[in-house]
Amino acid sequence: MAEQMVDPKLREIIQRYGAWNLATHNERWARRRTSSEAELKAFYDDMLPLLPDILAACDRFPLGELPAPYDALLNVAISAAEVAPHVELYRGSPKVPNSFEESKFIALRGDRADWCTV
Amino acid sequence: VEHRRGERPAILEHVVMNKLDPHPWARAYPELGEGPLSIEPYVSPAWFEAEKEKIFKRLWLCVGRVEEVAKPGDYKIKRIHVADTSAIIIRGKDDRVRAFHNVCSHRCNTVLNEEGDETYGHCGGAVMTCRFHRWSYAGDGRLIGVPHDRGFYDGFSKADNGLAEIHCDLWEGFVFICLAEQPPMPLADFLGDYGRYFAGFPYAEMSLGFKYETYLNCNWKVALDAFQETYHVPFIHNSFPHTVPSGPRNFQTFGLHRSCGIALDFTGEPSPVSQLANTVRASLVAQKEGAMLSSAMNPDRDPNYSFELSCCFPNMLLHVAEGIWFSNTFWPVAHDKCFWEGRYHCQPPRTNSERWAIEHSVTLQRNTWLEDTATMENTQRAMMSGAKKIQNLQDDEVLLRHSYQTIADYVHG
Repeated sequence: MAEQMVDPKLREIIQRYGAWNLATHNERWARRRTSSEAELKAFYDDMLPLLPDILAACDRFPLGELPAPYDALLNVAISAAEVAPHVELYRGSPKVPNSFEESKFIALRGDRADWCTV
Repeated sequence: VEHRRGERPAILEHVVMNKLDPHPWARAYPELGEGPLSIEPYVSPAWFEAEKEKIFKRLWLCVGRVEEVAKPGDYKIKRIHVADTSAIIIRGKDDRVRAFHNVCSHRCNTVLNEEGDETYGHCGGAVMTCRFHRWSYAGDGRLIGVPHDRGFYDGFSKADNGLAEIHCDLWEGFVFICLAEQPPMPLADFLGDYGRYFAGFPYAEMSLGFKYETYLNCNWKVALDAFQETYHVPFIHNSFPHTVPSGPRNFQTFGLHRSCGIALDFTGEPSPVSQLANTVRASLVAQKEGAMLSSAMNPDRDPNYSFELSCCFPNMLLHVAEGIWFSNTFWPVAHDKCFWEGRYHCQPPRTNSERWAIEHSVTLQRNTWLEDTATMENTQRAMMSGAKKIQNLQDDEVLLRHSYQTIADYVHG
């Protein structure tokens, strides 16, 4: 599906970070918690310079009507938003430092892909 | 915790400011006192029982939003441990939102199945049917169907056996119930000037809502207190080194309820991804223009004013800001256990990039709550040790003092 994407940089990012193409909040949250510090840092570093282009590419389509490769791209970008505080604010820690046990927090509709639009 | 010395001069400034005028709230509210407060209300099972009977079974409690039961037949069931019941909140075919105890009139089975503390669902035709013997009730609580009803005896009438109704009323789209047989006052009077102060904010426009919840092994007031002061923010939330909150500004009481403004001082640039999110869609920590807030708020027109921190007595903290509102509600379960709900509401995204920015804001809000809730179980365990009989509050913790006093007045009253 990545072949449909015109920009080679964006095509490559989906191929490299397909594991972060996760449709739900709960999946992105769990993946961040179980990733290593090095994985988060590499993902963040690769994504940061591309985020403006990714968002601009996704905004060529109406909300909720993204073709599959762009939907994947947005999912990866949202995963980067989940990861960003850990690199920018928490000195790389994959967990929120000094926090309540994260797995005990329940997110209402966190298992639904449309949780941010309903 | 490792402290990063020298990186946050603004915190020192905050302390210095306090030193110029260290006790403004004690002077403004001498009736709240200056002395230490007992920890008995946080550890005593007897105190918890008194709160149940005198506060939670008697007064109005906010149990949700009308958007949670948007269409006729939509329902929400909320377990209210502190009143030993579960409330069904349902929108009837007449579009009215009502509340009922989830108890069948036959032999007291739950009419609708519950899945944990909160259950959401929909009843076709707004008819609630008990699974046990298929007794069915209309959305207004009337008993409308009893299989083999001729088997019951003279004296049994459907008209006398509707669901037990709970007083239910709305304020600005918030659903309140009162479990007393007769509410001591109408909801509008209960909210009084607090209701007027917070009326008019476009809550309904902020129709996109996120909610996190968990059980906390602490007294509900341990959690409530931790969210009612900003004294902890530079320390517990030290991952945000460039965002320094003020203490309470323009603190005021509205009878049982209370509110204050909080200003945020930004001492540095936001992190790169936050900055990008801010350009896409303003978030809580981004200063932005707008006029959603009442002109009564931020009377000094402080450009750093960020949000209103308030408590709707007894157990809901409501915060409004330009573009969002968020709340924390604490439901007592036992003297050492509570159920916490954190809500974050904003306008729905119009574009894919706005959706991305909202996801980022929600992530930061969740992480902040994860930091907040980290201390609570520890505090409870330490309180239960009995090593300390009192706690010490400073002037900026005036909301806790008002909270303590209003609760104590009910328990002793």
